[in-house]
Amino acid sequence: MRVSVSGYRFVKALMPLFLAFYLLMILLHWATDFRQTEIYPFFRWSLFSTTPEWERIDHAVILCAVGGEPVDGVRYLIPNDSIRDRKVLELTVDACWNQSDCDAAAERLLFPVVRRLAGGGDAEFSVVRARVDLRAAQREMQRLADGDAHETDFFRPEAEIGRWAMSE
Amino acid sequence: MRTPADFSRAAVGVAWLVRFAYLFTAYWMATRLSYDRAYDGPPTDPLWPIGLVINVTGAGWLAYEMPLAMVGAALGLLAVFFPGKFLCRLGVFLYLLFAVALANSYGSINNDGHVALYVSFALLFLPSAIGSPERMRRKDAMASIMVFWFAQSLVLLPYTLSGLLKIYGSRLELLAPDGFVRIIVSRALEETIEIPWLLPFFASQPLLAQFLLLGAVYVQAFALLSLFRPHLHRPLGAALIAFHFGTDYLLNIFFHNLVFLGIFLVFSPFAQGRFSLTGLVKSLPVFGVPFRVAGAYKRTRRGADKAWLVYDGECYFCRNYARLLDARESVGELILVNARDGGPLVEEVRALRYNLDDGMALKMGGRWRFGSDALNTLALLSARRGVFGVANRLLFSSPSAAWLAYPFLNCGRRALLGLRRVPPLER
Repeated sequence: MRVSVSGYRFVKALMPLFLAFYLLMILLHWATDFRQTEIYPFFRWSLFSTTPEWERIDHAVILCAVGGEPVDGVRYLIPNDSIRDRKVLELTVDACWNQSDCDAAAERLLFPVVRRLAGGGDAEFSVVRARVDLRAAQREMQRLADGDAHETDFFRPEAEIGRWAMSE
Repeated sequence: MRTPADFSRAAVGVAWLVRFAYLFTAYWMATRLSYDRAYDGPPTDPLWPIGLVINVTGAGWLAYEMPLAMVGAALGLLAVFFPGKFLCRLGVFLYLLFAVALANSYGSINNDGHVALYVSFALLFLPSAIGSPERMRRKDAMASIMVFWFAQSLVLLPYTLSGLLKIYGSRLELLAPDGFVRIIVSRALEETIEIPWLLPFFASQPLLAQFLLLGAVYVQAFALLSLFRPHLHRPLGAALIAFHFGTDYLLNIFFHNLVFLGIFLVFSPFAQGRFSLTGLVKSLPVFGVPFRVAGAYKRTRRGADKAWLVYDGECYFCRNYARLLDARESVGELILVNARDGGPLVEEVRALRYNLDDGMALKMGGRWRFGSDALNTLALLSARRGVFGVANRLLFSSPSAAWLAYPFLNCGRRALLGLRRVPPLER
């Protein structure tokens, strides 16, 4: 019997097998500690599948000093509009929590981003853990929409994870 | 689809829809993919296709964004004009395999392209005759329809996974009156550059927002089931398109894949020609069950007379399965016909161009059901008595379970016949 890859029988058999294989790849990704978001191209499609509490924990990068001069007030570098900068921060925090070399991770991952965001030169910055008040954000949603409030207005820094100084 | 004319019409429809799918893919490849990600300080390693290519060629050529986008568009357009040429379809698939990997590398997550990639994979298996559908032979028409169905399943699979993982991940939070508000407010703070215009309203209406979420989870989780329910194709396509506009106005997330929903569901060649509210309600997962049961009860009261099951008498499992079936309460009399003995019913099946080596055939109420469809119908009709009756109903009363299991069962049958050196039914 001749089986062609573009034949009815072949595709009929391929369809359930491929769907089963896709599910298997997702389970495999779950079971393994992959740093990637997927075993490409088998994306997991776990989108908005967890619900945060009204007060959730987040992390931030705060600029402390530029060119040896302390910065007035609290100036957040991350979070900003870039999801990739957030990812860099997440990876650094992960390294610090997992007892990996926190300083090396900060130097490799965070320094280039902070250098770009702070405009180069000498800078001192800290990574902090913060509580985010979602209820306050809910109340102020219209002000957020109008641009009168910012994400970091709802951050309450509660612990410093690390502090680093970079020279040019 | 029951007659050869139905098959031909559907195959012609598939051929046109495939061209539209490639046309959209060409547009998408020309406009949606950005190659600048590799130059921005990578927080994570790239996915394997990027690592593989860059290891071999270096990354310098990724800077030529415009020519690369033009290559993508040209490949897509070639597939529009020559969908029958395997190389054109392979070109689109390989380009997408690389481009979608790039869009999801270096810390970026952009799953907008995955569905296009999956669809291009399914379309690889189209027969070459798809280029001239009017002259297509029946076997090519059936192969085209099967490939289209495969592509439909890959368009719908992400929705089902997303819905089921929301149920699994959120658990009881799905029933919390303010769960979705927490999600959208958190999302607004995390990733939104501009607050979407519906967000301030829904942030102040937690119950309404939660109701929306439950509706979305219902539609998503059961999306794949609509493969087996043509009444749902168009309404589901419309519902999912509305869902994407909702995510745009509420979360600033827009999926261009909604064009695929239009091509593969709203214009599905398998969808019912005329809208039927009864058909739609009966086809609904969970909510439609009482209506389907009431319908089945009515049919039983009317008294379904006889049913004929054509099976392979040389197959040990098929023979015993057929003998153990007890469907007297539902169909009155179930007449077993050994396909190897021949006869008018076997000839009738052959006239329909169904290959009995692909599985059993059931005739009931003047209509034929084949393979997994027959298995599913018999499971629904058989009595819930005894170990066999209960197990049969438990395993195969779901069309999806029967559809998934049937290829494996048939494979076992073929292997058994091969071991016993029994020739196939259709030589």
